[in-house]
Amino acid sequence: MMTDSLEQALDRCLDRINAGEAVEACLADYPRLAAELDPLLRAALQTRETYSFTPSAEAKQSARQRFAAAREQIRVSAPVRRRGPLAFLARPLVWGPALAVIVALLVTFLGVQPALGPGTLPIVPVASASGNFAFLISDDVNAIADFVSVNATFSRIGLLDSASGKWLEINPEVTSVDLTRVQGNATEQVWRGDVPTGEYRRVFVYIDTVSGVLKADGRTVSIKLPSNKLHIDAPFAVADDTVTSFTFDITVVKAGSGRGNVQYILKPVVNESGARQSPTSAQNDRTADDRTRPTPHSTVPATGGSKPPKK
Amino acid sequence: MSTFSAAARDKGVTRQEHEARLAGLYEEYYDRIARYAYVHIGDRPDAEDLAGDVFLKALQSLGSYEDRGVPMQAWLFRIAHNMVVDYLRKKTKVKSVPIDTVTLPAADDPAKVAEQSLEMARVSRAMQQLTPDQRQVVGLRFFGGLSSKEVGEVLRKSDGAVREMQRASIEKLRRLLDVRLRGGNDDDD
Repeated sequence: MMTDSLEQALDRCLDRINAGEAVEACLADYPRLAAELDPLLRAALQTRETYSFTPSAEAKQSARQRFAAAREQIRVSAPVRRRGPLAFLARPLVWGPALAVIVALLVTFLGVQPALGPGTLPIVPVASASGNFAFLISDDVNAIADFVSVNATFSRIGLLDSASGKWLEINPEVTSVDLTRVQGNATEQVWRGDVPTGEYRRVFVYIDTVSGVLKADGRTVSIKLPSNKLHIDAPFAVADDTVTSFTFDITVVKAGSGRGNVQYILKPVVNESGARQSPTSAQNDRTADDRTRPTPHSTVPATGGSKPPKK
Repeated sequence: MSTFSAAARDKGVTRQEHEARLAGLYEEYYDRIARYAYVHIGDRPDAEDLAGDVFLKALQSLGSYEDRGVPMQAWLFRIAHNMVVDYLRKKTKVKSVPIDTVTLPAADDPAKVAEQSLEMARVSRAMQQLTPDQRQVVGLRFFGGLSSKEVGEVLRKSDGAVREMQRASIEKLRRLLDVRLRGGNDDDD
């Protein structure tokens, strides 16, 4: 029999329960306090179990990849690093060329599908050529000049609704982009359609694969992803009477130096991404687009159209 | 501050060693931090994102960890606590978990989902009756899985003070949740 005070006994029992023991096993060691301990321990368990959840494997894996990429980034850039090791996560790279390229994927339009998880909006705006929302991919150049081609494939786009906290997911019809073909200020639309009006605060793109062919020796190299779910926090609003064009800027950056020690990483560029709005002059937009973008995959010279101003 | 501290170097501890230790905590503590965050913010995807961000922030701030001299897992929860506070300030500007935004796992049985939802609302209401410090203790102890000594290190309190707050908070939860002695005649309520 143990002779701890109630507070000590409660503390020890919580430790044991946290380690997997049953309440009864602990109570058996404190017969004198059992009547007081029992309801307290069960209240604690009830509270814990109510909130208990196991994070999704996908989220954990994504976070693990981000963490590993950040460690790797520290390792390869340590000798020349002048900022914090994670500065690249929060601001544009300072060690890469400061070129800006906008890729625009002009699209055929798709539906928005209900999301898989419980935190997603259940429904389904209709895609249309004159919808109130357009999604574009852009590319801040950095190491893109090292490549003959950089093909990125992506499968889903998500918008986080600020009010409900739920995700709206979109399947883009154009799912593969050669980033080298969309340099400059061109933008290419990957989806346009109607989404529920309101405010959104986060955007993600699921990147499936990225590979590039190097100019130097023609090798195909895999480009690392810090996460297959790249996200950007960039609040924006969608209204009925305007077209909101969201540009998601991603870039390839080079890490390391010397033979065999170089790797390329794909990352979102926060300050090159964001939304801008224009009157529902869908007709005007489309006229301009149609003049310069006869196919969904064509590149467009930048006319200052879709890319948002730098933050 | 992201530089590795001179104090740490003087102790012969390399940044790489601390990075490796931090990485070693990832598997176990990612889940705990996600649960801890969930208790406070009530949004599972955001809690998961926040848990990942805690490790990135920790990696960035290994220098400040050295200077504080607390166990790394307790330090991770300090970071988590600060990030939770920032999150709530930015998102809702309210102190409590928004019960109506708490997400529950999908289940086949609608009756079970409804029951879970009611239970979640009931426990959430009880949690709101705790003081902020008591909620912290409950969050760190029940969901973070920290010992009372580690909780004390996070909150900068003695472990005796933590045990006292823990007993008071559980007693309050017991009353609010109306948990009685099994088979007994608990006349407290």
